[in-house]
Amino acid sequence: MLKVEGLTVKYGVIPAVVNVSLEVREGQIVTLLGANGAGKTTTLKAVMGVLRPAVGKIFYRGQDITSLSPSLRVRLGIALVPEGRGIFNRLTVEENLLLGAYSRSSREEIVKDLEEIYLLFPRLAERRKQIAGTLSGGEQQMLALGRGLMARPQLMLLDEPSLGLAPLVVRELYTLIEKIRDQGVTILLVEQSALVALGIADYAYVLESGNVKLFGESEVLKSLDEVKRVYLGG
Amino acid sequence: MKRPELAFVWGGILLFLGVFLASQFLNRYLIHILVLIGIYSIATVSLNLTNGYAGLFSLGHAAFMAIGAYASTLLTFPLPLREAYELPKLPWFLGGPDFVWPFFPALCMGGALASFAALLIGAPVLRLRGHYLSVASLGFVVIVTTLAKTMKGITRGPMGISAIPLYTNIYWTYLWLFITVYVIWRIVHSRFGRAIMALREDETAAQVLGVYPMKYKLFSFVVGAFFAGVAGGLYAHFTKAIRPLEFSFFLTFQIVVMLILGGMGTTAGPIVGVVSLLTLRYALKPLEEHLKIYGMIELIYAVLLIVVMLWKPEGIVGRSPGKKKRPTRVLEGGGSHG
Repeated sequence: MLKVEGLTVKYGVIPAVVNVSLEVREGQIVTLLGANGAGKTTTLKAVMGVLRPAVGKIFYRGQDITSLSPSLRVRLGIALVPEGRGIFNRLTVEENLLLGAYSRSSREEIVKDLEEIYLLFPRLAERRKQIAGTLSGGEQQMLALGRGLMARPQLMLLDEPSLGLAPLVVRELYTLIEKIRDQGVTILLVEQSALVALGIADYAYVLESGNVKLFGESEVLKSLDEVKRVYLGG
Repeated sequence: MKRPELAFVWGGILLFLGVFLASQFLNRYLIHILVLIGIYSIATVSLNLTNGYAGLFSLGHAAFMAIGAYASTLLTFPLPLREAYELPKLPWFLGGPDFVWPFFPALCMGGALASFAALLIGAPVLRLRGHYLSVASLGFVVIVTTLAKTMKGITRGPMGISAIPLYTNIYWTYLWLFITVYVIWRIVHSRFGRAIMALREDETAAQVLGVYPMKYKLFSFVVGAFFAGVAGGLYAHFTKAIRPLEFSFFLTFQIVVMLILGGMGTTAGPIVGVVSLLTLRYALKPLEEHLKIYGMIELIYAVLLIVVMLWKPEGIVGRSPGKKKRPTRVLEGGGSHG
């Protein structure tokens, strides 16, 4: 579904990601692991089109989207849930969700989807008129997910959804992410906490200083000594 | 009709009644103050669109007002006086040398020219963020006032233009204020309005939802400039004389203070700011004259600005989402990071 080939992204002259290739198959959860500064977020931003690659190509459903703007990529069915959630703090929960459907035009469908989101995240329904900045961290992450879903994506890019959340909240969140996958949305998940991510992912890539260091089925990666030692703390 | 629209209809009727009663029963001095309140409100409400809702902290409003003021003045200036004042004759595309514009279209034209200027300078300036944008827009004020001083053939230079026909009255002013508030309210409560507020909150997040930043910023800048131009035109036809100096940074400063004090990003905020500060000004005026400390009111404005920034940065009517983010809350809420 998504194919990244030989991606190099630079901030000025400093390369953040060098020659990264990866593939995400339809219906899967693929995770991108690595320490701080490994280039995970940069890769996601390049897939979304927020950053332009210096070298490399990005294919989505066989179409070369390397030169498309983020807005056009949203219309093709890609959604990014940014790191730190990117919640619009001073707007209400519902306004945030409606902005997720910004690139769509059918009002009826948007209203229908809004109800579906409220079914999936009952806590957002309770707080639909609340100012988003006053939500708890976990609720904000749910709002970010819900907002991403409002674009009706086929491919969702999640950037560190567990960041700053209590373990219990993370577990709840990951159950929701699996639920989203079960509804047919393909997911590319960036995480620092490898343990949780490998728990639900089908396939994983490990980035180190901007390069792909390891990749393979999650089950296989989990059993590798190197991964255990460096990322799983075992 | 939806409820908010209905509120505007009733509000409009009440406003008209109020204006009618004011024009019948108040003395000229009070009406003078009311008209100034109206004009400043138009300027502040329109500045609220860019600075409050779109989060583009522009300091260029005085320049757009100047453009509107000079444009509507030149378009409506009476023919017999034009020669005596050495003002230019209108070119053919503006009606020719024998044509004098009526007031309403002249105001609209002044607004349109201000919008056009916003379009031109917006494209480069709006690429900047935060303070850089503020400073660059301030530069625009300097450019416009300097041009007004030096283009003597059109503006009569530093001495300005006087004997401008007095067209602005309380009805015109409050009609325009009503239009301004309604248009901006409509914009803000639309899909577009949500998009510009999203850009203000988090540009990257908005962008990845499909909002084109430049298009939306430019649009709010251009709309804000239009009403600033109209306010400038109303001002010129009220004071009957304009000079480049009046549209300097000082005017921008006053409007910005009114907006911040009232509450940015709220419907009522800018008007509350204007009413309270202008009322204060005219209430203190006798004292200022008595004590002979001219500029005392400006000092008070500045001090008020500092006080508000310290204790209620969201302004008189503004609501802050940060209220719940006090340290105590973070401790009690499990994992609250917001």
